[in-house]
Amino acid sequence: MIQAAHVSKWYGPVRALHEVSFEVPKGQIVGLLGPNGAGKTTTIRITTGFFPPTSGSVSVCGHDTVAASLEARSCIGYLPDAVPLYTEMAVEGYLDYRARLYGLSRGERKRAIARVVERCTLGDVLRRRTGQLSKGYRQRVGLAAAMLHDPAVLILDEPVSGLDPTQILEVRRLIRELAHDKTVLLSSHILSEVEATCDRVIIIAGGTVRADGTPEALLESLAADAPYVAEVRAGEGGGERLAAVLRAVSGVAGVETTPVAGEPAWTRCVVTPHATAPDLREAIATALHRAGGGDGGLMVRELRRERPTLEQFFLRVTGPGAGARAPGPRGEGGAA
Amino acid sequence: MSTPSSPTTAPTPMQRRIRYAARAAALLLAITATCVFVGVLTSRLHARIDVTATREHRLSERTRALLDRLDRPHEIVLAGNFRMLDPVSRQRSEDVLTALAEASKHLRITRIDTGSERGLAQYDAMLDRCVRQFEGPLEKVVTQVQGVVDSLASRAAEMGELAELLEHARTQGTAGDPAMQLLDDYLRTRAGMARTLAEDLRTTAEQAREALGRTVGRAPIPAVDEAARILRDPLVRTADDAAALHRDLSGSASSDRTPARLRDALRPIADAALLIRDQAARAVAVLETLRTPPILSAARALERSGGAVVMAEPRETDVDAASRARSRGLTAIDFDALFPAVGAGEDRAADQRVRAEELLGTALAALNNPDPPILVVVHGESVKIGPEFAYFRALRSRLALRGIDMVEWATALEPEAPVLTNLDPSGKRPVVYLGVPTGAGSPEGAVRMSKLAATLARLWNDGKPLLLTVNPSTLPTIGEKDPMVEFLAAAGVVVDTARPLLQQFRSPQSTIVTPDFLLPDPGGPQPAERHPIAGTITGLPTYFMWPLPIRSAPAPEGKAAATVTPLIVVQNEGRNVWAESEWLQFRQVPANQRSLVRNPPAPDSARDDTTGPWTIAAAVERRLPGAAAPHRTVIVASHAWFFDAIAATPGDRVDGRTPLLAPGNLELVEACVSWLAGQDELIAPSATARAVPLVPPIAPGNLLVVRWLLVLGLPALVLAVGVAWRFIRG
Amino acid sequence: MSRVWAIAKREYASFFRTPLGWVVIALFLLLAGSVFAWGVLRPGEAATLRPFFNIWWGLLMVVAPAISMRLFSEDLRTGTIEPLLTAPVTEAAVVAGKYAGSVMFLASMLVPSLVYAVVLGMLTEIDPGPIAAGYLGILLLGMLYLAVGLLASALTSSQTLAFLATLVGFMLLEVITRTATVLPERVADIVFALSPNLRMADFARGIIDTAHIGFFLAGSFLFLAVTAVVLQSRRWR
Repeated sequence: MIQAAHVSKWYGPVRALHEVSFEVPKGQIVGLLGPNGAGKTTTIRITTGFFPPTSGSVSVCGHDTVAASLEARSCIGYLPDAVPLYTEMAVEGYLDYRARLYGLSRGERKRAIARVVERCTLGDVLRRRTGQLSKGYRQRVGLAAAMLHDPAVLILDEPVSGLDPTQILEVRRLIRELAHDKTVLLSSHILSEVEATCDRVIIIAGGTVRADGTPEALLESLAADAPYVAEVRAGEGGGERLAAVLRAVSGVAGVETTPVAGEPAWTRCVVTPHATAPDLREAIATALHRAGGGDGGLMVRELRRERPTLEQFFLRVTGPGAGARAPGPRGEGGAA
Repeated sequence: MSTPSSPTTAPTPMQRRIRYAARAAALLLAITATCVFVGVLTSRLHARIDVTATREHRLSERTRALLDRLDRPHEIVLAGNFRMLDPVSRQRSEDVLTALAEASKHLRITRIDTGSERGLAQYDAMLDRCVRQFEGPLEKVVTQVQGVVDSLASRAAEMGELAELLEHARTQGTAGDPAMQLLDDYLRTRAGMARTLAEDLRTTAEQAREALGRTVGRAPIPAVDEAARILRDPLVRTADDAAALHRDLSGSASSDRTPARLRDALRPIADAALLIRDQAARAVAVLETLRTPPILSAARALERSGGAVVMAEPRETDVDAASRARSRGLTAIDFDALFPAVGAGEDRAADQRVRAEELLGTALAALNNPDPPILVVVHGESVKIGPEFAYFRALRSRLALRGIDMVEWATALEPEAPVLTNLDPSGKRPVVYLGVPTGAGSPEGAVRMSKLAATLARLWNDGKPLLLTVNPSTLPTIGEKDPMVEFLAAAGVVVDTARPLLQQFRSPQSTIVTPDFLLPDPGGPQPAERHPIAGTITGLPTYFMWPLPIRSAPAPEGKAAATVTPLIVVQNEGRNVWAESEWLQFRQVPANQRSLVRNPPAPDSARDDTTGPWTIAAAVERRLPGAAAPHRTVIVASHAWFFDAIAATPGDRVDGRTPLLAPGNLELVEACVSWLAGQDELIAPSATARAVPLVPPIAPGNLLVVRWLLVLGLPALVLAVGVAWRFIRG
Repeated sequence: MSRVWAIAKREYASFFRTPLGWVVIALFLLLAGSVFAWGVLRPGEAATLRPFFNIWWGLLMVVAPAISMRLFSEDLRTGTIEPLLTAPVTEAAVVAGKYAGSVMFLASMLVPSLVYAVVLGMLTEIDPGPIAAGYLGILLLGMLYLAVGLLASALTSSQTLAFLATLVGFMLLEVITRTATVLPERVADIVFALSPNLRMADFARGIIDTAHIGFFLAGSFLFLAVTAVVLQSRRWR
């Protein structure tokens, strides 16, 4: 439904986006994730047709946002960051106004407004001025307005920013509900949000796409070199010997040992495997057991594999030194 | 992976941008072109709809009727420096010209801008053309004047000879004889005078020749009018002197007390003087009966600032030269009249458009009027004023442009009316009489005045159209009737010549009393009943000195009363105008010293009239038995109001132009003459004469309340509504 | 059309949602009322609203930019420009709607002043033709001025700049018209033809000239079209 190809945007001498490409297929919820200033809003604005890309193109529902702007806009429901509303208008009036802008006839308007009011539970505030509403309600009004014409695509810029946890849950539920029949592209700088809501994540930073794929797929790429953590009683100063033992295990790339705070007899080991190594827990346990001399000398009280988190992934790809990646076909993650 | 909608060869971003920009530019260009096209189209084919109730912006009925009557080609040439004109004023007049041209196929409009080189050339060509059309009459006039100039040399020589003869006569017996002292002195003085006169005549001849060498503006016409003016006075003096000399010398030559030798010497001198008198009088007569063709007055009107020349071609049916010459017409309206300077307050100044229409319409009508009236100036002075009408030249040239000739009738010298056949061979031209009062201070003056009054009374009783102007008179105060206005009483019209109007202006230091009335807008009844003459001067200032009140009184038994319509009314709003009965002393004070008079007249006596308003000009109509048309008279109860000294006084400069102080005065004369001649259709109503509703008077207290209510009330109301609105909406 | 009407209605209502709209109307009526009270309501003088209309072209030069300066600038400031321009409405519709809203506001400003005509009518016979023509002229003139102001508003996000630019532009045109007599005749004629104020004078006198109507409408349309093109160029610039 949304296809961006080699989109670049220059604001004068400043480069905001560079060769951004992605695809959002029908029915998916895709999250644009990135730190502030990464280019999320710029990407969104280009996608909604607010301004054109300096080079490259975006098409929505098969319509190019520059060449067929009007058609593209017809199938987009857009909720901008900071939900700009006409503060002096009542909610009902505002919805009616937006409905007219979408070109709905009178009957259609009535039905559409009833529908969105129900879905976004705005029944209590219809008569209130939008300027008097809480942030949560304003968000819902904005969302309702974006849905009036039942667009195929919803584009939401920071939909939960500034909301309290209850409101966040509300909005999240709403979005998931909507995704049953719509395609959603939302942007956020809150990792957990994107993780909880989206089918797919596009990480963008410094104007370039750093990663593009489902959370699982992305994590998988991290999973390959997830470290093992063990706590072993190696006695004081036994760290070195421990490290040597562990390094000898096949598939181990590196070992780090640190004494556990307050318990000098115990040592904590972090074992980094090779990317291609299989599950090494058994091997490590065996090695420790053997090193202990068989009588239980090297007691192990914890042996686990660290689960990689999206946060780690995020920091990895957006940190300094991380460069842009060429996206693979259909959003599969590539090798790190 | 590729974007679905891109063509096989995607354009570069720059290319795409250029393409869109080009498209937008092309669209803009197309839209601009369309808008400009629509703009130009609507300005070419447009309808001007006049939504005023009085339809004041279309050509009036009168003008359209005039245009319908045109039966031969006419041309209006607008010649002048258009740069100097106010653009709005010019645009309005352009509207009129366009409307006129569209309304009649016999009318052609040409514009010549003398501000450019090419325009000047066109202007000169036009003048040439006009001059050529009047070549014959012009040549005749020039020859006549030239002849007079040439004759001056002979007269001068004759005067010189006369002087010598007089000197010689002294040697024949007067010198040295104490009994002949008087005669000797006389001869000596006369000789000196003759020599001086001879010198004068030579100088005059020089000046006249110079004048003939000059042209009238850019028109190739010798300034014959100037030359004639220069020539007349010395010739009149010559004739008078020679006549006096002849009379005196004849008397001496036939007296027994004169020695015989002297008598023989004096007789030939007397004869010679008579000859000189005859020659000079003949020359004066030539000057007085000069028929200057209208091109001369037109050129004079144009020379100052340009103007509109209105010309009529001769009729096709006029095949002989005489009738062609008669029906060929030309008149001019100068720019100051056509494009008046717009003074303070655009709504006060008459709408130029309507004014221009009326002026042009009247000019066309005058050209097509086969019988322009003749105005006979009936006065009681002891000497003739002369054909130049030196005291009211402005009036004369203005009437001349309408084809109206002025003729003098000095009742003190000629008991019979002047003969008009040379001006009016067919006898169809209406004759209007203008009565000008004379001073009755001396016994001789009183005699002349009664002769004048008798003549006027006779004219009036014979049913002749009369425009009467009046002076204050002391006769009623000594119990006698004023003969100058007495004859009007028979129709119930009373002019109170015993009590002229005065007005006073109070200042903390002094009170200034003046008999001068500058009326910015002569009042009158509401438009519907407005007399056409009053309509002409509405909105035009008029100026009168020593005006006298006119009243209606019941007619004496058996006589039919006349209809008296007030034309000019002096209001007494500020209670500072009154009719003064003791005015004689004040009148004898020279005008420039009046403000110094310690005890000026005041409205104190029981005989003074302090209640206004007073009518100072009125139109009178009455039915005479056996007459088809009513007998019309106009009385303007003031004196010399049409003289140059008053009517041609310039006013304040506005926009670089100097309009007249009282343009209404001359308008009034023109309108009166047309009305008295029964040619009402030639009276041009003033532009503001159309029905103009006025704001009625409101008591000052109420006015203040209404004003502040409107000014503050509405905004306050709006703000209140706004506050209430916000309150309701929450 | 419904879109245009929706935008127009909203724009019109927004004038009244803040004190600004009411104050502008009140101020305008104050000025116009003063002109009427002291310039027209003079006993003994001709009962005509001409001085009233003649002063209005001067008032409009200031009032119209004040109305139009916020048409786009306000949206740019509050961010509501985004939902507006990303909705499926053409730029032409947006321009038309905002313009219509401002014209409706102008008409709302003029309507209360009809009280003056009524007052005059109660005092004496008035000629309704020139009054109607005068109001028509003011409306047309205002429409042209608003169109120019709309363009200025779309070109800059600063309300002050939009206001000043429009005002200065009008004053400049007036000055040029006044001094055009020194130019060669053809050029001067073109200048006179382009002057809105000279044409307004005809309406005040009671002449409805279709050429003037065409001028004002074509001129307004031109500026609106330019505004729409300018607005649309955002999409590809």
